[in-house]
Amino acid sequence: MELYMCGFNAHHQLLDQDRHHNDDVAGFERVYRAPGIDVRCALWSSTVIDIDGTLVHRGFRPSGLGPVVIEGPWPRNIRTIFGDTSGVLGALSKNGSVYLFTDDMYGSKDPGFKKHHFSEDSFINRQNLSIEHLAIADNGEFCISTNMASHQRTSSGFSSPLSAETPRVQLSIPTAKLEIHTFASFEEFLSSEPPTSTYSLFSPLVSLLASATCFTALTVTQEVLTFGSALHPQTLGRSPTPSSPAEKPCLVPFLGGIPIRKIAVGGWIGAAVSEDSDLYIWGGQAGEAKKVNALPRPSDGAEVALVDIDGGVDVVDVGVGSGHILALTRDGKVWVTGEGEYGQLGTGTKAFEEDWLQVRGEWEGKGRVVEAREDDPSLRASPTANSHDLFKNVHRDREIIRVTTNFDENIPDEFCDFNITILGTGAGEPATARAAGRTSVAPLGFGVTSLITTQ
Amino acid sequence: MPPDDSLNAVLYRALNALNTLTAQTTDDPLHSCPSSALLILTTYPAALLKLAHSKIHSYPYSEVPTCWRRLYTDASVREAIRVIRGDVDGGKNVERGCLNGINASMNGTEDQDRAGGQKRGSGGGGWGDEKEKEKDWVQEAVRLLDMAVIIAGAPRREEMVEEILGALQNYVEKQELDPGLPRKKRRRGEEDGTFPMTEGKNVPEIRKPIPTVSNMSMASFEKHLKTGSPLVIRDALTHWPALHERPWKSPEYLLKRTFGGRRLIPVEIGRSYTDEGWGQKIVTFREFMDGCLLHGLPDEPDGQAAPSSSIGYLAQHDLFTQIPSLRNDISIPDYCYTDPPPPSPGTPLASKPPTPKLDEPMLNAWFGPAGTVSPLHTDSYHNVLCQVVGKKYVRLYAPTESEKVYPKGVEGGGIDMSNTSEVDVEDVDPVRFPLFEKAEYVECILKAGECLYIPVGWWHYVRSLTVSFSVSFWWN
Repeated sequence: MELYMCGFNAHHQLLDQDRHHNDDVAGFERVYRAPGIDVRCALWSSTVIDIDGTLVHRGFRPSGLGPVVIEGPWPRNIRTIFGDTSGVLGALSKNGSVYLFTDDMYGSKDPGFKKHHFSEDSFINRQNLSIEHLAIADNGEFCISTNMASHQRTSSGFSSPLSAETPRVQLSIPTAKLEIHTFASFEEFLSSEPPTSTYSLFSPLVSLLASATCFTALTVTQEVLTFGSALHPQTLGRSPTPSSPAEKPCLVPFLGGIPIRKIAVGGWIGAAVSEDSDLYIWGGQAGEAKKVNALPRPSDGAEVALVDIDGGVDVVDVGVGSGHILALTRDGKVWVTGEGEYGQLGTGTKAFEEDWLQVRGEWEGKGRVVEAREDDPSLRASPTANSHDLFKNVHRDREIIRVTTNFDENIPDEFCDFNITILGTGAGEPATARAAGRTSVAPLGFGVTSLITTQ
Repeated sequence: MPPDDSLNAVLYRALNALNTLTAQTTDDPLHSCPSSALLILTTYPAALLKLAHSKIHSYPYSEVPTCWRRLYTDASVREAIRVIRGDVDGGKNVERGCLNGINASMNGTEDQDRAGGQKRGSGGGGWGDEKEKEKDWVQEAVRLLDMAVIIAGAPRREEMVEEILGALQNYVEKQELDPGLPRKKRRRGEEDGTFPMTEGKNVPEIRKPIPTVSNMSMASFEKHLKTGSPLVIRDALTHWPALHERPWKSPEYLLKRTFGGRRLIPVEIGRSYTDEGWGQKIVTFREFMDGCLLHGLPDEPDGQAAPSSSIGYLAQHDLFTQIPSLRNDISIPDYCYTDPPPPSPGTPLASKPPTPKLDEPMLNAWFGPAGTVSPLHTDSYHNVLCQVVGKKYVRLYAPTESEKVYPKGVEGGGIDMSNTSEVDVEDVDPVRFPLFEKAEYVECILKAGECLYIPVGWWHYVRSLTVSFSVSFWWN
């Protein structure tokens, strides 16, 4: 696999110190080539990348610059890595443990994730909660989704009423107490402070993301919830009302009835890709002089816009950075729009792109997107296998051949040498496997764009 | 272009303060910024503008952590200095000999980063944009400095910004870079030296006039305060230079005071702030004047003001802190040094927490074309509204009429809008607001040279009848 990146590089979070200075990178450059690559965290001054099972930190650390390995739990056990402008703050493991990022762990030079132990009187322990997701917004607000820790867990999938394909999730049965809690800051969360607000969730989450002033969540029922500050209501994709105030997680009405496969947010923009491969976007900072034309206009009364790229082709993946959007179409093309002042659009210039523009690159031209669902029986290597593990293993060794030939019937011969990769962060996102034109969109950061290819 | 000593000297002092003094000032909130940000403050300030701008907009303005406002300010000033020096010495030349080695000693790592003299990150534009900005580096420098004031309030750097702008203005005028007002189209009034003052047909007839007095002394005014009623006062502004030797009714004079119209101002677009589609833009004074104020009226068939799409209003802006030279053209009326009564019991404002006492009166500028509307609302201060240019129609309702003017409630975002009326005063919906026509009011057409005293809690609706420039003084 290969990782291509472009954009803001002042902290060397993209390119090596020796090869390039810290100038911005205006065209996609290949940063890594390895059997397995996943961008786990894209922050203002640093990036964390899973290279073949090792977490590599690029960018600013108090102890210096230069890429370095992060010690700690295996990347495959980590659900989310999070941070803010100052850098990486911590990680959440899949079994609900919170790890703090420490630089100079155990007296050695490499930084690491050290497990945090909540005090007995902390909110988490008092309520006996298990943390399933977390996210931190640019304004410092910290949010977790929780479940009661005492119930039994099951690892079988369940089918939702809305769609046949549903990712495997940890679910306590029969009575789940699913909640969202927000804290004024990460520090308050770590201390014994109670949350500033708590809301019930009607269904478990697949992902929880944060942007400048709000949070966006995707449920297992493939619905989108938004909640956060009322300061910029357009970033919620809905108009707050007294019964659906900004702070309360509420469904985005425009997306009602549309099963959503993936969400991506950044800055003041939110995006969702539906099962039907339609791209929906909302938000945009009020009053800015330059606008992305594809975003809904408040004067039209619209809260969310259906995106039409290139005559309405299917969109299979999306990434949203602090002010730019990247869409990947089924025919393997990469389209960008928005801010480009650090070269994050990969166009080779630093111009703002009001309209969608196709970006060419080394990664392209290798084939069309083919989808493979997780519950496709031909993919199961064994009944007890964790699907995530299956896919992660698949691209690491020769088993790829075996798996692909399993669904020969569904895929034309010419695609049989495709690798299978997980799209998204791999951290609790819908585990839909996709042989995606050999390209997928990794989380976009502040002025940074990442594309992963499976070649 | 030969260097100019005084501009160089100002920039030198500024950089010294930005570098050395800042490091020594331990209580500067700038130091609370993340180290990752401070690390690139000298080398890549343009990137920090973007970051700090986003952070500032992530909080309600009163809650923005000061470190981000400080970062935006210092990054802006550094970037402005870079832009100025980039061109003062004649361009991208790495040698920069003209500045006598000042660059070499002050820049340190900056030059090393500029391998090949390549410019980078000039305040957020594309490389195409960069060429435009280099052509008008003066405007770009002014834009950066004004944005620091408007967006962040330029904490701890107010004087520095003023000094740099002043030195830059002197430099530009001396270099004759400013050929005066470009003689594009002859607009109505520009050759006459005043804004076009024609009124539209929609001039209201005054049936319930506000009492008017002339030459009111401070003692008489103090007596009047006890009545809690509004008053039009004539001849109180006779000594204002803005009305005589430094006339604000002259576009040429205002352009001169705003650095050839380059200074940035926040302008409200759209008919009134209660309408949908209302927004705010930050534009140059020149753009504002060209776009909104220098229209001719006789072209319009029905005599109305220019179409609402070009109605922009410089409203409730502290122009006088931003441009101190304009402050010298006016003076605070004596009336604002009185001790006015608090809101009367039983009125809406009386049931709210009391407003803290102001140390000195708050000044705001209100400048716009005919047709700007301030919808019916109350303020939490007493107000003397002074008319400098043009005419405004003002209607007032007493606090006791509050029920009949249908104050708004708390909006969806938790914002208390109860100081704003639901009613559009000159287009009342009698079905929704049946009591409104029974509300008692007084009204006036305020003319240049007159002031209007509006007691605290009085509902007021204002529409400009011509190009209008007013100054309000709030006190309590």
